[in-house]
Parts: sequence; structure tokens; C-alpha cells
Amino acid sequence: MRRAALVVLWCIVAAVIVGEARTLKLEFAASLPWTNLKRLRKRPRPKIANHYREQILDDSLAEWKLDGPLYVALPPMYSDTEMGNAGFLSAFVNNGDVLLYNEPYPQPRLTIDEHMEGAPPDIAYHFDNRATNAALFTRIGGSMWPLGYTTWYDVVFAMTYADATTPRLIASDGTLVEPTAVRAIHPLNKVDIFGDVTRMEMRHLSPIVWTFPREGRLQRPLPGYVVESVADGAEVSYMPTLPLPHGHPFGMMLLAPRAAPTTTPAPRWWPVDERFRRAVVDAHPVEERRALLKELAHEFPMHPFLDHYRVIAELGSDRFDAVWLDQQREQCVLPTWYLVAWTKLGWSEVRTLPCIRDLGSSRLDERGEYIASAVVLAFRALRDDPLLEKLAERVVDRSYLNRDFRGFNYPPSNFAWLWLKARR
Amino acid sequence: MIDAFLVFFLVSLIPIAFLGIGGPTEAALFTAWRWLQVVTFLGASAWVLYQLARRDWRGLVVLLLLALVVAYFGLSYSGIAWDAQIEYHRVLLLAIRYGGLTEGYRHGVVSWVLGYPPGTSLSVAFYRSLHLLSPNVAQELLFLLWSGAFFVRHLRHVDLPGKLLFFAIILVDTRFLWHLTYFYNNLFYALIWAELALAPLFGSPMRPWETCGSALVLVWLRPQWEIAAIPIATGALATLLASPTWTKRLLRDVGVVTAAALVVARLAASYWQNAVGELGRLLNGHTVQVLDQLRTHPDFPALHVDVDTKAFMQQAPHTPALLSKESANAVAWAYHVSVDRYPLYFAALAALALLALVTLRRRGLAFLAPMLGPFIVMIGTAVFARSVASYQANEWALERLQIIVPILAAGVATALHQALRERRVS
Repeated sequence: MRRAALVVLWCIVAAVIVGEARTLKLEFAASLPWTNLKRLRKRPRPKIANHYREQILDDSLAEWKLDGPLYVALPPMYSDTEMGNAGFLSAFVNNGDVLLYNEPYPQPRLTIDEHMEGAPPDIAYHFDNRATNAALFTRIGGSMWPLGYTTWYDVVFAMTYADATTPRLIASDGTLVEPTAVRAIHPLNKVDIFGDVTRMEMRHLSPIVWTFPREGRLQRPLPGYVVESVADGAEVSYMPTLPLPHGHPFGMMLLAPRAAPTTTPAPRWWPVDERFRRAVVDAHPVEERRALLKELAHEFPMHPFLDHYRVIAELGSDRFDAVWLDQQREQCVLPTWYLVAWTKLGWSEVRTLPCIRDLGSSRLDERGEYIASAVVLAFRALRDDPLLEKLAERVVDRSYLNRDFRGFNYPPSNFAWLWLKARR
Repeated sequence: MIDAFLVFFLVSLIPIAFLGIGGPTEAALFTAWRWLQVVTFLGASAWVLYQLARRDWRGLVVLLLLALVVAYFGLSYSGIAWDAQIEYHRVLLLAIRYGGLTEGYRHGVVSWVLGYPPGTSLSVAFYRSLHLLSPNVAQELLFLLWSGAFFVRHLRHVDLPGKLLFFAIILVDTRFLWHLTYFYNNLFYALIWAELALAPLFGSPMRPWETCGSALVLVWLRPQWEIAAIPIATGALATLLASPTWTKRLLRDVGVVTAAALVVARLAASYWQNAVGELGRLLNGHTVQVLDQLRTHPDFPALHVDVDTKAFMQQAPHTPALLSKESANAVAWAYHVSVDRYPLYFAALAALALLALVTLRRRGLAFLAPMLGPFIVMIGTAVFARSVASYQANEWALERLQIIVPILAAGVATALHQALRERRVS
């Protein structure tokens, strides 16, 4: 009897082991441990890569030498990126006091108060980004987030290689003048000349400067380049644009003086550019911003952000609506689109603009979500407009939170959730 | 024999008792504790190895084989899963950086860090002290320590095939391996649960301090004392059923120890709930302070938006009665989630219990007790569903809690194997 029972017992055990082994699945590639073992035998011991890239923010903060407190705006939580989850990111931030929150670009400032009927005030949603002093700069979908922005004190990012054409000057006697040296004006950047190409190792958005022994004009006028005379020759400076999404850049736009200042002599236009950006971020009078913009345009007519600066210089002025509309009428300009909420334009004017017209009827992508949520915020008073309602529903529909976890009064970084809730 | 794993875990939980002290005193205590934990871990491991080498070389061989499996998973390190990042690892980093749990929680930024007691976080703190690769590696070392301690404390008299089959059964389960890959509190919770429920079947019932200590560990891993009561109760039932006769003394001892363990669990849960209130206030106060500091620069003009809504209470569905169709649906849902995920293990548990009843008769009743735990969890879902209407949104939580099922199946199979072998020999 006991022997038979033991046989039955082992048959049951065998059935479990065989049955489970047939469906056994590991969470990683079977060869990964061997690969990691080989890596670990190397000196110095390299970091083990992992698919969550969980320490990227922490490592980057250390690399940029940023200290807290930092209050960082993140992309929408449900934008299908680990970079949109405050809890996920804060789990690995161990560098200064870093607070993370899902919100639009934190300038101009925005406050939202939910008044919940029949409930204590502390459970309603309250949003106030007046303390936010940074925005994460990261790729979501095929675009860089934030899609819309005004300007910044500094932009820092994980080391990115960028190539620029090495400029040459034509002297007054027609001879070609080669640069003798190149320098980066910020300590986080490095730069070297490799013949026709100058390669930058960039961590900070700021110009590089080539030194020439003689004065002259640019051999080929290129956007982003400007020549200025100096005591013993000439200098050509180049202002790069924001990194593009194909390189998976990752960084932060800072709205407060947190990054180290520039150390080496900068081109003449750079302090003007800095003063202009700070005047916008700190909401200085519009006259001051216009004067600085005029000076910058004079010093550097091919500045890559000049068209953008012309719109944001007018923020809060009586000319803003017209300047913004002029720009958006031509084509959908994403960086300034969200500022629609700071205009006094009517919905009938805005709904015909290219950004709305091109939305189509298919499922919204990150770009569409951004465009639609901006108009829902701007025209929130039109509670019965069917197009706005449809747009808000399409924004919220992107979220898994729309199906799961509906009980939470979670903060909507795009406002549409709250607006729809108010209509019910 | 001492349960070395439980001793290690109790030492690991000491900083929870410091909550609220704060400042340099807590920092000094926390630093001293970090080294005490390392010493306890090394001491407990050395003690287990010594006992196995001296008394149970077969157990040592199985443990070495297990070490190879665990090393494979340790080297596979590919990240930390979701909850682990927010609830456990974040707490650990904060506590180490700010010198203690109180200051760590104050700088916690998100209140999610208060979702679970810091038992899981503290248990792997030695990974930072010893500069190990990741908390996952520390978790796997603890799994090895648990296995060694389990051999020494409960499987000493089990033969080599019995020892091997225990680990063969659990290590072919995909979900168990998921827990070995990632750092999660369910693993330790299930191991301690299993020890409470299975120990009587091996003829080595838990001592009173072990039962109460396990209750404390369970509640400081997962704060619901009602869930911790399940293994405490099924362990007590298994102890009674495994006894050849029921004497008054036995009934009194089991009753007193069970009541004491439940009191410990209840008090530990209340302690944590009170701490959550206090720590939440500290966290919010600190966050407001930081925001005020940032806002002191220019007083920015802001676009202000007001939105009028209705309270969620008005929009939420009514709470169903405990005996209602909704409750029955909740239990049915929990049954399907559990049984669909672990069909073979549930079938094996039932088949083994039946085999035990047929062969061991009255003593075989004890083999039914461990199986009750997972079913009580399913029934308890009806209670949970009354307070959380969206309980079905996170079925992974239930699936992970039920990781206990493969371990119980393995334990019941091993205990039955031992019982049948003993009968044959006698």
C-alpha cells in the first residue's frame, strides 16, 4: 500500500514538473547571464545595461552637476513612456531634492483648481506650477517632448555628438582664411576640428567659437553662424539647435539658474540671448523683451531661434494674438501652439488653423494629444461644443487609465480628463 | 534548531521600531543597524552551512545545486519591476541617503512610498553595504538562506529525493522564476507563509516565538493583518491535525500561541498605520517647504483655471452587501484568476491531500490544511471588493499573492514523501 502510494505520489510530482516545464518561460534571454558574467570580469566593472534605463535620470543629474531642489515637469503619464511616470523615475533619483510632476511646459505659469461639489477640498485636484523650475527633455513617440515651450535659462542633455561644418572666411584680398582653434563656451561641452567637420561633445545648449587670424566674411553664409571682429582677428560662432529625436537625446530645460555658468569668453550676442531668455522666463516687461530681441537680431540675424523668439517676446502684450495667429496661419508650429490658451482668440478662428485641420479622425498620437489638449484648456468655457468634446474624448482615450483605475482622481497633465469630468 | 532566516529577518526589521525618532540619533542607530544586518546575514549563512556540513551533507549538496540556479538568475539582472521601484527600492535609497527611515520618508516626494511597510526594502539593505550588483542579487541570496535554514530547521530528516523534489516543483513554475528574476515582496511573504503552514507536516512545528516573529514579519512586508492571519490560522490547524491525540494542553498551547500571533499581527499593522499618518504629514510638509522655497523668486503671473465637478462618492457605485451576487462574482473572479494561473499546482494539492487521506487516514487530514490558505484568499476577495470597486483592474496583485500555491504544493509533496518513507521503514 505504502509503496503504491509512493509511486502515485511520484507520478503526481512528475506530472506537475513535466506540465510546468513545458510552459516554462524566462523573463530574459537565456544567454544574458553569460554575457553579464563576461562583462563583470572586466576591470573597471562596467554598468549592466537594463531595458528600463532606470538610472538614466540619476546619472544625468550627477553628470550635469545639478543640485536640488529641482521641480521637474514630465510628459503625460500615459504617453507610453517610462519617462512619464513620476513614481518610476523618482524611484531612482538619489541626487538632491527632485520633485517630478506631469504637466505641460511650465512657462507661462498655470494654476488649476477643481471645486468638487459635496466633497472636502483636500480631495479635489489642485495644480500649481509656479515652483516648477525644469522640464524633462525626452523622446516620446517620434517627437521630442516638450512639444511646446517658450524658453529657458539653460538646456542640458546627456552627451550628444553633433557635427558642424567648419567655417572658413574670405579675407578682403580674397584669400581663404582657415580657423586656428575652436572652443566651447560652457564647461560641459567639448569640441574638436576634424578638417571640414567640427565635432561637438555636447551636454549644454550653447555656442562654439572658431578663432581666425584675420578678419573676413563667411565663405558660405550658413544658418546658425555669425562672424564678429576681435582685437587680433575674427571669431565665428555657431549656435546649435535643440537635439533631434532620432538620436534619443535626453535632457532638461532649466527655468532657473541651476547649471554652471559659461567660463570662457563668449560671443557678443550670447549675453544678449541669455538676457532675453531670462526676461521671458521671469516675465519681465514686454518693452524690455522687445529691446533685447531687437539687439539680438542685429547681432545675430541667422540665430536659429529668432522666429520663435519673435512670438514669445510678445507674450502678454496686446500684439501677442496677432503675432501668434500670423505664425500659426502659415503652418502648424508646435513649439508655440500650446500658447493658444494665453491668447484671446475665438474658437471659430482657431479651429480652422492647420494644426486642428490636420488632426484627422484616426487615433491621436503624442502630437495630436498635445494639440487637442491645448485647445480644450484654451476654450474650456465652451462646455457644449461638440468638436471640443470629441477632441477631449480622443485625448483621454489614449490613456490606459481611461479603462483601468478609473476611481482615482488623478491629475491630468493635459486637462481633458478634468474638463470631461466637469461635464458629467 | 534555530530558524536562521527568521532571525535575520527580525534583525532586518529593527529600523521600523526607530520610526519617528529622526535626526542624528536615528541616523546613528540606522548606521549601526546596517552593519548589524551584514554581520547577522554572514553569521546566519555560516551557521546554516556549518549545520548542514555537520549533520546533513545531502542538504548541503542540494543547497549548492540551488546556488548555481540562483547565481544564474542573479546574473540575469535586467531591472526591477514596477512596485519594487516605487515601494521598496526607493525607500531603501532614501533611508540610506538621509540616514534612517524617518528622514528618508520625509524626502520621499511621492506618497506611494508609504504604500507598503519597509520590510522588503530593509531585508536587502545589505546589498548596498556589500556593494552587490543589485537588490535582486540580495533577494536571491536571501532565498538561498531561507532554503538552507529550511533544510536545517524542517527538512533535516527528509531524504535526498524528498529534498530535491521540493525545489524541482517550485523551480519549474514560470511565476516563481519571475519572482526570482525581479525583486518583490511576494517571494518572502510566500516563503514565510509556507513555513507556518507546512512546518507541522514535517513534524517540526513552529515554536511560539517563531510563530509570533513570523506574524510580525508578514505584517511588516504587507500591511493587512487579515491576510497574515490566514497562514497563522492554517498553521495552527495543521498543528492540531498532525497531532496523534488532542489533549487539553495541546489545545490550550495552540490556542494561546495563535491568539498571541494574531495580536502581534494586529498591533504591528496598527503601528504601521499610525506611522503612515505621521510620515505622510512629514512628507507633505517637506514637499510644501521645498515648493515654497522655489516660489520665493519672482511672483509669476499665472493663468488660473477653475473647474467645477461632482465628488467621486456621488459617482461611485453603491457598496454591495457581503452576501450578494456581487460578492459571489468577486469570489468567482478570484477563483478563476488563481486556478487559471496555477492549474497544475491546485490539482496536485488536491490529489496529494486525497492520497494522504487514503494512506495516512486520520494523520492525513493535516495535509488538507495548507490548501485552505489560497482558498481563504479567494473568499476574502469578496470583502476586498466591497471597499475597492475596481478590484478586477489589478489581477496581477492576486496572481502574485497566490505564488504561495506552488510552494505549498512542493511542501505537501515533500512532507507526504517523508511520511510514506517513514512508514515504510517502520
